[in-house]
Amino acid sequence: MQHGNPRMGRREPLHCILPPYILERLAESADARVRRLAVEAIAATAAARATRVTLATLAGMAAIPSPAGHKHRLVYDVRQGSFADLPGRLVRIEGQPAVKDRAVNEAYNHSGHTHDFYRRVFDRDSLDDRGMALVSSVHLGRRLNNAFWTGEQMAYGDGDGLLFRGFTRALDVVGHELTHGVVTHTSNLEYRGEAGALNEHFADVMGILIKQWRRRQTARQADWRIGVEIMGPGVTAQCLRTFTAARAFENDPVLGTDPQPKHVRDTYTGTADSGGVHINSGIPNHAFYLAAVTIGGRAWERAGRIWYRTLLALTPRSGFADMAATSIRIATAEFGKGSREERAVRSAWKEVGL
Amino acid sequence: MKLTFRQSGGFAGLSLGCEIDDADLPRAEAARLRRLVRQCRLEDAAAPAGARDVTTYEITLETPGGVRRATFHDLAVPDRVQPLLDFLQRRAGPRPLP
Repeated sequence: MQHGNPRMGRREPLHCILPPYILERLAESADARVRRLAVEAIAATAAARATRVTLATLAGMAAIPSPAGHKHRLVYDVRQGSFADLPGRLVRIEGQPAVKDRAVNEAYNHSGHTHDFYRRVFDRDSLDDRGMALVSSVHLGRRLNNAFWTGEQMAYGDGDGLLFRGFTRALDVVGHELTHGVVTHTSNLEYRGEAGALNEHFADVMGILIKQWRRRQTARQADWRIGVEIMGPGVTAQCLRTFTAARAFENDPVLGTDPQPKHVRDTYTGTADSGGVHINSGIPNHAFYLAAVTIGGRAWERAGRIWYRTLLALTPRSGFADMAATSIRIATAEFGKGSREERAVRSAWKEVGL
Repeated sequence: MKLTFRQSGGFAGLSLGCEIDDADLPRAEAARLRRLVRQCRLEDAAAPAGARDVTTYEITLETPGGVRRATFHDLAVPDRVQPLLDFLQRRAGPRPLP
């Protein structure tokens, strides 16, 4: 029987042995197991700190059994504090009833849906596939227009109430942030250039699939828009990103025009945004949409499965060409050569120029 | 004194910014801006290596004494820089990607 955080007591041999620069190099290894061990070793110090804080805050918790495979959510209130103040004060743990604070309940519920999605659709046990606790902090910063995966937990700003509302409101935003954790524990795609755009792509794909899964929508019924619920009253934009060929917003007085390309010929090649990780993700996002709609039915069942297996197969420096080739290979292996799925994936990549 | 502000990345992936010359501002606002600049110390700060969806800020300050440029992130905004950042963000609008 395990107690408290399921990660405790499962220390791997890499932990606390190798110097950080070696671990960082190992985290980029082509070997998935070495990568996983290195990532866990890097996270261990910080995770242990968060666990200590949790146990100190809630003395009785160490004795509460938390069997592997069960959701284990911890929601903290960082009370307008900064990154240095994370995780903040523990305000809701697994199994506790809703509190008055809307953001706390949204972080709790949406991270729960995300956990359920990964468990039921992909048989994945939390972010690390080993029952890792889902730690969220709400009310980060003052009127902060952003949400993060810090490398070990989720953190959400409240928005300024004008451009954006609280970032916990949208299930696709929460699913996006948690998927960054899944990426870290699988392919560990680098966060720059094409690999970084793929990192963002997987976060958006799983975020949108979790929303469709909760709503029981088919690919044709879904709106394929990211961030609808967080848009504030001071902007004309109705969402932040769209998987379709359209622009998410145009000539918004505050936000401007959606910069995402939907074809490789329009790839952003500048240095902003770590080489356009949130910009060029529009290309694979659109390919996923095309594949899912062509395959038909519920996107998480077949297109989602192909993409999840692709995520597991990629390596830290994979680019768009690797992504396309790997997803076609997996579609062929899973559904057969010449199958509807294989043809849909192949033609989707071709349509975006790959 | 001229300030150029650029913001990129973040969950929203927006490219925003503004250019402000204190000579173009009303007297009280110009005085406030000069005070905010004096109060803060612009320094580069890197985001934590594993962090995702971090917003990058770049502030360039041009004075007769020279040019100072600092790049930092919304996970590492020093308290002394936050008031200047608030001032610039309130005046920021869409900018083409560099």
